Amino acid sequence: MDYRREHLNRLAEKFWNGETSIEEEAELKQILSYSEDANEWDDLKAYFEMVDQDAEELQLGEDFDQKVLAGLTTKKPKVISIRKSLYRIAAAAAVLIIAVSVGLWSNQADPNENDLANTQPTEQEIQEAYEQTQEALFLISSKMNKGKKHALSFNKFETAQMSFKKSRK
Amino acid sequence: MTQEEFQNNVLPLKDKMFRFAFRFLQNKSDAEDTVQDVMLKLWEMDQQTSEVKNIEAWCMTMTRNKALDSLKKMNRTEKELDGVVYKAQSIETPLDQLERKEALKEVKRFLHSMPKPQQLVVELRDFQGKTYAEIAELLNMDMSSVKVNLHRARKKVRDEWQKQLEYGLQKRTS
Repeated sequence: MDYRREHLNRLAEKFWNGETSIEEEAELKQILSYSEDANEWDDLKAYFEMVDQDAEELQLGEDFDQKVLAGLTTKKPKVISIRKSLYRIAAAAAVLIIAVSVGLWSNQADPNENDLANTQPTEQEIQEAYEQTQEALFLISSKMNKGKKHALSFNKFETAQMSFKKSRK
Repeated sequence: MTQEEFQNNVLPLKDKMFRFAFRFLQNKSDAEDTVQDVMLKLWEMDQQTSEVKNIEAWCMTMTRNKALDSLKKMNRTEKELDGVVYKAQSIETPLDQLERKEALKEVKRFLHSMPKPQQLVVELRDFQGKTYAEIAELLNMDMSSVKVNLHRARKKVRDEWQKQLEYGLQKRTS
């Protein structure tokens, strides 16, 4: 018995015992593929043939890919935190505009008078500023998911500022 | 993960996952549904998949878990997977089925009727080329159990093949 046959017999025995490594199994398949004696290791060849055939039969078709991909496209889009960013921007803008408004009131006071009481906005004016700011914030909140165009509601703050200026004249 | 990455990295795993699920469920439709569910679940994880080191291993593990869940819903527990010999579907070999192709077909059917642990080990080793360690991890088995199941499965297939050949020979000589 030549070395090759002995080696193949040993490998075959190990294979049936479930003891071969992956490399040994690859070697076994390779040796069998050019084996001249079709009958000697027919059971081994049949085993590998069966595996190949079964693998071919147990496959998913192209329509499966389309089904899965269709499932991906109908997925709800992730909610990106533009809302949070817009809240922060709106809050910052409101604070800024109120501060600017208060500053304008201060600047428009008589420069000869240092009495702080005379440059303070009236309670009504403060209330109006607060209400207009609140209105602007509510408007932004209600339109939060409708995109950038609704950020134009910041114009409301400008309106509030202009009205304060006019009221001081 | 973009859709392109999903197509390139996840969809190519479908057949491995499908066969793996099939070994559990023994039903092509259920196996296909399992694979689809797992893939969509992976997609939903979206950003989290960047933490998944090995997408194939993740997919195979999820396939196993999903298949086991399905079996539980069908009131078949994991315990029932061990040592239970499932009856083959009607294998009435026509007398004229002596061709090698037909004998192989019978052996394949026989493979599908073997106990699940054996089918699973054969699937992962002989169909997918996984190492014993990978198989042990995936199936929650120790290495010696993997080898024992593989040994039993291969021996059964070999014996069934011999039986089919003998049957064919008997037919020809009778």
